[in-house]
Amino acid sequence: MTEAKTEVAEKKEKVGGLKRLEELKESLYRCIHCRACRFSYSGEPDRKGLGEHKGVLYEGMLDGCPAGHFYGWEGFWNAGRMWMARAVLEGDLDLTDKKTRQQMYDILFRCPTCGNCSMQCENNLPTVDINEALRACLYEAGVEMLPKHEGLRKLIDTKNNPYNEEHAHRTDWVPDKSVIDDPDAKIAYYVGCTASYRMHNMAKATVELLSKLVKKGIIPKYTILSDEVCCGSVIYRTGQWDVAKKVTNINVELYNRFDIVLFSCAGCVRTFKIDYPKFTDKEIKFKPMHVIEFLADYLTVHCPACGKYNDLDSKYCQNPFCPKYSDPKISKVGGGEPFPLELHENKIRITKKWTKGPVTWHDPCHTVRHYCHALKDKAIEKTTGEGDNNMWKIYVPSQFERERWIEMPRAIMRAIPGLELREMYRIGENSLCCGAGGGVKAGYPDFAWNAANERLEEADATGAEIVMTACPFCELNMGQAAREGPDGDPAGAAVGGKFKEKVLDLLEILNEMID
Amino acid sequence: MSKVPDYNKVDEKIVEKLKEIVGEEYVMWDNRPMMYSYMARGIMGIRAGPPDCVVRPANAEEISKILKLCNEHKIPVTPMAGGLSGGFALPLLENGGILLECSRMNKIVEVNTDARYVIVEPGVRAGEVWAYFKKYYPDWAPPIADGAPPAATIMGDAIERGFSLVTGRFGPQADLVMGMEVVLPTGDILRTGSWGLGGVDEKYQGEKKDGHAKPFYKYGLGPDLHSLFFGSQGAMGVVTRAALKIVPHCHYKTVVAFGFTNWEDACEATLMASKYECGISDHMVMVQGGNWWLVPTRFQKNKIPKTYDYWAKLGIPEYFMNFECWAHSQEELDIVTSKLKKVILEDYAPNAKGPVREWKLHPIQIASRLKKPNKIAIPYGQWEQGFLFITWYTPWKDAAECVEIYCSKMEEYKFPPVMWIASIDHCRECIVMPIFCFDSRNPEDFERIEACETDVTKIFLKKGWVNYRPNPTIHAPLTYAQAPTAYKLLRKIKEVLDPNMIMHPGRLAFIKGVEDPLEIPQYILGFRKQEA
Repeated sequence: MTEAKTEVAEKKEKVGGLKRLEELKESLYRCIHCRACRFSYSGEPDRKGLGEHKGVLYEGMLDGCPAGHFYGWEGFWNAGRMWMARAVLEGDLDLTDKKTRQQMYDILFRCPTCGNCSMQCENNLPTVDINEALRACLYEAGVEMLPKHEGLRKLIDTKNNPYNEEHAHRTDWVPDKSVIDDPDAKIAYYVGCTASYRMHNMAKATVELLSKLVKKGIIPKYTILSDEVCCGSVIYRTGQWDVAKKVTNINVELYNRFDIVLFSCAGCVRTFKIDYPKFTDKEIKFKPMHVIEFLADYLTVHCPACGKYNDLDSKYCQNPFCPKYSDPKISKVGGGEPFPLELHENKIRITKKWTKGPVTWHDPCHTVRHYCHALKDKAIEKTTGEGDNNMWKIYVPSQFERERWIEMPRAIMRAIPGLELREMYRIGENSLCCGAGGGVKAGYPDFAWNAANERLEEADATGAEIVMTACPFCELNMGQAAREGPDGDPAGAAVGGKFKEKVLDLLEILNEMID
Repeated sequence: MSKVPDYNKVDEKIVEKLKEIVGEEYVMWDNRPMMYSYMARGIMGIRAGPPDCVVRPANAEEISKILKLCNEHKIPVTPMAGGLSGGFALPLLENGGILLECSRMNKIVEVNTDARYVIVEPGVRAGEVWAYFKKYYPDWAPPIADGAPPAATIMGDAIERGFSLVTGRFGPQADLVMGMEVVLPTGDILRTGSWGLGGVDEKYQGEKKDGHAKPFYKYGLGPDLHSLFFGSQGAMGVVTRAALKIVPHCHYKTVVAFGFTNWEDACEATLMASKYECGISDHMVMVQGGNWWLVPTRFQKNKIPKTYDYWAKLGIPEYFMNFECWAHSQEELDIVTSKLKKVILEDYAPNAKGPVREWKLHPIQIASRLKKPNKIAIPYGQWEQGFLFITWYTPWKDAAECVEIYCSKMEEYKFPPVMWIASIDHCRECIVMPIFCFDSRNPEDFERIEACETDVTKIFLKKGWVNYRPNPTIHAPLTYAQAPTAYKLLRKIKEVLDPNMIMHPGRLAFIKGVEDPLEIPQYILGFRKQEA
């Protein structure tokens, strides 16, 4: 008994779930259970939508939480989980009790940690952080995890990837081996496990694209590291933080010699950018960037004054409030200067025309909402409450910063001639999660399918022929639902199979469109 | 503490019967984490406990069977529509009983633009019905709550006599109810008013052709029954449908605001303008205001200036009133706003105690105030870790005195004196709503709120002011102690409707076996379940 107690205590120390939850207590207790977090556009009623499609009125206030919508009980909605977290901290829910642990697990782990709740919350609760900390509490208390969830940790711990593949084969897919382990490169491409072992097309498209741009002298050379290990995203999401911290430290050590580390996976870049600084003591010297973010500066004119992504031909900034370069024709601040000429240099101009029909864009949760919440948090953190350095003053600029971020892939799509973008209703910070994240795809595949199905129905409502995104996990989950039903039968595919092979990654498209 | 009254606990046998009624997938029991997921302490109520079982019925017939079962076995039942009254929507006793969670009942049943009503079920949320009307009935508006989160239900707001976006003109939300369908605690299903008439020829039935007359007249036969269910906090029955008046959705709107240096001027000037009934006042659909504290307390306490001089520099008045005006044309709107400004700035201001000015709002500020529904009321949880709305009704003429006392008491008890007021029915009444921003990590904060509120209640009752949503430990017992005849009669009515007192025991000072309202607080849960 004493030995078991010590083991639990040791695990608690290594994982740090309860410690983290205590650190988040001040934020957690701001929850008033108002349920605003359930809905997308819960504060944006005036946006026009798509009317009615399959019985859903795509306007106004739509469900934004896939788990709550699917399962219906309060615990599956974010606010319910916040109050479970409070009950844990107050001792009303005892995690030493096995039944309590397992019941909580069964509720908590059905959340894809999409973060819609965090963006809807007017009290700025870091809901994803809190959910994950609660999961870590369960893990360290010894909850019996689903074999799939437990398996992820064990595989990452022993094989450096969750797919039960050999680490030595991680870079087998790379067509040009000369990019592997180049000691002179200052930019690295972190491929990630899904692209390395499953979504080879996406990985290959990324390296082809990057190599083309290196050859043209537009971007510096890059390398892929054969010692790359799993980013730890899925085990961070599932609270298995002991192994997550281990891979974090390995990767930070590995990549610290680079200036920039590029990612094609939204989950990986989110983990490096947002989780790693919280969970490692090591200084992180590199800048993590999604390849889309990296390429945006070459495919658009990125205003240095306000951050807006303008079309390549823009002489002025199209932000009417830009303090320096705003277009006199639309400016609300008296007009500005034209962009300096150098901002138009070294650009990628796409000349091929898009011919595959209208496109709709799915904003990946990890690179949109999670980033946006982190941007919001960072802005709030900097305020002191003294004079103008206060939360009220930063509210509007912080919102602009987030809007720029959401606009970025759209600006890139505008750079593709002939591409017509048709927006879904739930986009940007209000995007509806595809259902793959948070360990959900592994643990609850039926639910993950249903969430993807819901998203594809919304895509269908736009009349688009293609669903585009920038996350291999979103592509994987929606792609699967587009091909087959939850039981694997093609006859049950979402939207009658309309989007079969038509859920595509923007990087693959850019590779096709750029010579 | 005295012995808890003898209600029975939910057990396996009861759960099996519940499953037979609603289906296995809509009963949750023996799942402590899930029960705690329903918890709340704040918004309207701070004393609450988790249920023992949650049931999600689909219609009135299922609820009828559930209540019959609970009557037979003396199991407490708490009904919940959207749950946005926070702690008010939860059990009050250690025996949490059944939480009747009605969110599956979310149909907009019927819209009638001639008799001008909408029939809704309990789970219809403000944001959903607003979007529905915008799309399909753009010239009509459902009377949703303003300021309450979009997740609030239109029915919950109505049956608790809440505040809507047209309360300044049309009175409290309850005045807009034309008829209700209620499942009584005994399981009988009642429809009120003209809606209660069944066996009506098809041509004269409502759109749904369910055998009943249309809910066009709320009073019906003999003494008015439906008032028994307003403000009952779920203690008299379960409302399963309500027919609510809809109002014209004028497309010419604006907000005009004025700044004052004291409460008296803010209230008197508003009263002067509001007396123009049959004129401009009928266009002032929502009239509300407050003090400057309403602004900083929407942000984190350590991240915002807390002295008025900062906000004064930004042009925020110390006290302000907003007038949301609707009209059928721009010309009409211009006449209304011009006259309103004349009344406040020319007719009232010369005799005011202090300066009176128009607070010129930026178009973005106007647009955000006109946006419905909105999340204006939510961020007060950020100041510390939680907030509580407490609401009182006073004659409008007494409002200034009321808020002065309240603000000073809040400061005495170390709360920021955040105060919001609004006009009910052309300033016949004032809804006075302090917002207690507090640290819900700290049980002493809850105690401080109750101490302040006890103090305030004793003062206010002597002045004849009433609490609009009485809590079970302070407002209800102290009020009924001053109105024993009313309590006696209400209790008799309660016993007729609910002979086993199963509906939300503790609410409104009603618990089986306990007849003295002043004794009721002993049975109510404390702020931590372990303290019960």
